[in-house]
Amino acid sequence: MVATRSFPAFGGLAVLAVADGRALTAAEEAVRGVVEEFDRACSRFRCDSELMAVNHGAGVPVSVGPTLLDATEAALAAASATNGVVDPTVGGALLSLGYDRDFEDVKARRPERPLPPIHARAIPGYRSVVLDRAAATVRLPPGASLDLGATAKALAADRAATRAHALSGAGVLVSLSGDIATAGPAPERGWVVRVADDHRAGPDAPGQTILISDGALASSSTTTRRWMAPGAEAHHLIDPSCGEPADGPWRTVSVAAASCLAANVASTAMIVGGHDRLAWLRNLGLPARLVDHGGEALHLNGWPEAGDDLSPGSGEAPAAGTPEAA
Amino acid sequence: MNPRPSDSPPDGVAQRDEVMARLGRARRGLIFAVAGLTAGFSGLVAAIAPGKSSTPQRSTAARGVRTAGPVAAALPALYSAQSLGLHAPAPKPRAASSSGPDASASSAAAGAAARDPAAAAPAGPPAPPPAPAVTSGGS
Repeated sequence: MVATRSFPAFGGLAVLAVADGRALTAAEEAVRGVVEEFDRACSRFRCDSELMAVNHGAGVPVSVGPTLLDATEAALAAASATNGVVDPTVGGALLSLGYDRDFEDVKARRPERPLPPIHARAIPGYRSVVLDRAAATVRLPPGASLDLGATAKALAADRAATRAHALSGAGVLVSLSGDIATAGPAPERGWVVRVADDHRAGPDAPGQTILISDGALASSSTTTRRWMAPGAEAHHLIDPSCGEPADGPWRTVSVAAASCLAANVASTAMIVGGHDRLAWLRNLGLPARLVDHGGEALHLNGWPEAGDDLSPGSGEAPAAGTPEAA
Repeated sequence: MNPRPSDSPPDGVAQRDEVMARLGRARRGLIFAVAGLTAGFSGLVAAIAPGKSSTPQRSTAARGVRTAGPVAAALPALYSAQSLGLHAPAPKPRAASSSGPDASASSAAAGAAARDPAAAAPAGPPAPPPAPAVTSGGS
């Protein structure tokens, strides 16, 4: 009998589901441990986080623990695998656009008068990052800032699922703000997952209900984390080629892959890279659901079409937070 | 006493000028000598200890440092494209709305109905999708 538990994590909602309800407590302890570990290592806003120290290193190697070492290496690998489309050195651009604190505080901030536009800083590029695994240090060029949002949460989901399964012995599904990883045997018919623009969306929000039995699933969306930046509305998925919020054809992309890290790398790459990345995604064979700004879903590489509220001809539905929904 | 030419400097100044010129020549000679010695020494070191480079990328790679430049191709197996998990899960996701308790059984029933319509069970409304355990979406 599937049992679930949810709690706040990483500015969103963490959900744990176990195939055997008796394993819930042990699995939850494992997941909470991983969440705390990654928050302490990779938070861009905790003053005591290791990433905060790295981002203030001013060109000097900074000693870090194994979690941030792994997270940084994963981010660099993602950048390499996507030819720089998913780049962790976009932290400076986010700061310039006003995303310099927890997102709830960013949303709540009301400028007293319109602020002049600020041109996002040039992205130094992932090749400027020096990671020394032997010395356990990370060095950034002066003024550079890492944001691990495209990879760290997904990596944490993978680790949390693996650890929860190892500790509890049960099949588990872990979702960290919509980035989903599984480990161990799934329930007989699979894990039931709703795919939508927002991981906090209710069951009536436009989307699709699917079944997964193995692997992972991640979604990236331009509709959820939006705020008034100086000069224009911004969202958090930055195009490294210009330092501005990505302006591609997709509002939400969901990808299934063997790991949550890979799924999130691919979903982010599709938001940023747009149509230019379609051939790359097709070659990888990753099942994907891509929703354009008109609310129409495209299904690739075997992603099921049945039951999708946004399939062509099913009736368009604007996403919450977009101009069409106003 | 011979008159001193009007354009000749006094003897003390001339002496000083001569000394300064000699010093200048000596300094230039010293600079060239040092440069030559340095080049020779570098060649000797390169011959004795090949592979040691002063370029940052190669030296950091020799120490096990990972830079994401040309050395990015040599990322450890832990995070190669394959180990990142950049391949489809098995099995792939499937729709919940068309899946009864056993999707394959539903397919078999549909096939049997096509072969013998008289034996087909009356079609009913599709089963509603089960309640999801979780939602994947943006954050």
